[in-house]
Amino acid sequence: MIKASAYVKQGRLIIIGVAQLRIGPVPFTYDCVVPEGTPEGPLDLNQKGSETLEQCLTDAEKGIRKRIQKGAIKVGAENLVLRARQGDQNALAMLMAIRKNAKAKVPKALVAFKAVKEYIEDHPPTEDVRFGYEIKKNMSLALAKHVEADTPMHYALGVLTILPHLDVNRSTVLLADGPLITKNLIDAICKNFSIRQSEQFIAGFSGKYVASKPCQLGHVFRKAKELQALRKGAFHLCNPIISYELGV
Amino acid sequence: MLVPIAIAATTLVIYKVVTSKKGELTAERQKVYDTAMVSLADPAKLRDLAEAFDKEGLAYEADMLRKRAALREQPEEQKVARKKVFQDALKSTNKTGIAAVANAFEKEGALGAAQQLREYLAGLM
Repeated sequence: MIKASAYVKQGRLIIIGVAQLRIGPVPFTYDCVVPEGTPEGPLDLNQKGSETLEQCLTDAEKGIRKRIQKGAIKVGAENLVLRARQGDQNALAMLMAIRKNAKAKVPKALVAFKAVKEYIEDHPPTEDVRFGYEIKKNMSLALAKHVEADTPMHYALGVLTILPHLDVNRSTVLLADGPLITKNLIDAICKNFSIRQSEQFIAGFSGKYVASKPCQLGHVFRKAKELQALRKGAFHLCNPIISYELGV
Repeated sequence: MLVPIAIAATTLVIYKVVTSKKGELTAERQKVYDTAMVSLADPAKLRDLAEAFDKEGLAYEADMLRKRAALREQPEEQKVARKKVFQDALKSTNKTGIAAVANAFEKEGALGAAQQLREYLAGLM
């Protein structure tokens, strides 16, 4: 169901409305140039106007449908991110599918993926959200399942969605329990960042300190990689102090 | 005449300061001890430091520093066993067991290994 109001002002037709869809209300706006001489003021969309104005309204309808479709994708993307942040496995799987299809240049997926990225950038996860321990536990479980994903891209997306909600030690153990942290995996994660964020992530992974989220994430990956190396007995490669203490 | 009096007075002050701190783990000494215990990996330097702490009446710290110095000189079988225990603990999910291994490492002066195990323990759900 669409509710909209329209008016003509300064030679332009302006339509503002909201579409009630299954996923929730999707607001929209639309404007276009009207034929010269069209009277200014409110416009009843149900009444017939001049032929030229009718053409204008037909174009407007097409334009509005496109905007609603885009708006619906945006609202859907936001819902998916919110659900994924609470550890919803289905939402994570859908995000993965969007990522995969966007890589394959599927038009709808490209729009959805852009919306997901924009929403994540505009609404970064915050520590002050009171999910409670149980939710954190669920997120840990979700990530634990996620790290078993077969491709680094899926893994990276899961990590970026869930990890900011966990503390350093928990994240380290979860990552260390997952696949081996290799150069390919690190490259895949970098591809999910902007160039600047990617540099910060690598800085954190290399042990340098930069006060940013990607850097902190890089730091966690560094610790996890160290834990994996210690488990394999490569003490001398990662921690000279422990290496000394164990007589290596 | 004034110079010998000044020297004598200064010596007296230094003597008082040193003797008053004998056996006392001052913040400065604590810092030196902590740094050595987590980052010094040279047995000779650790023993020198242990001797210095001993002279200052800090027997416990001196003993820990000597234990840390001795870590490298353990028999080969013991080193292998310790490595295995450490690796196994880092793969384990038995919290009590991991805490016990961390305590054991700490008691023998391996604070780095103990800290790593405790961080791992904190990360277990």
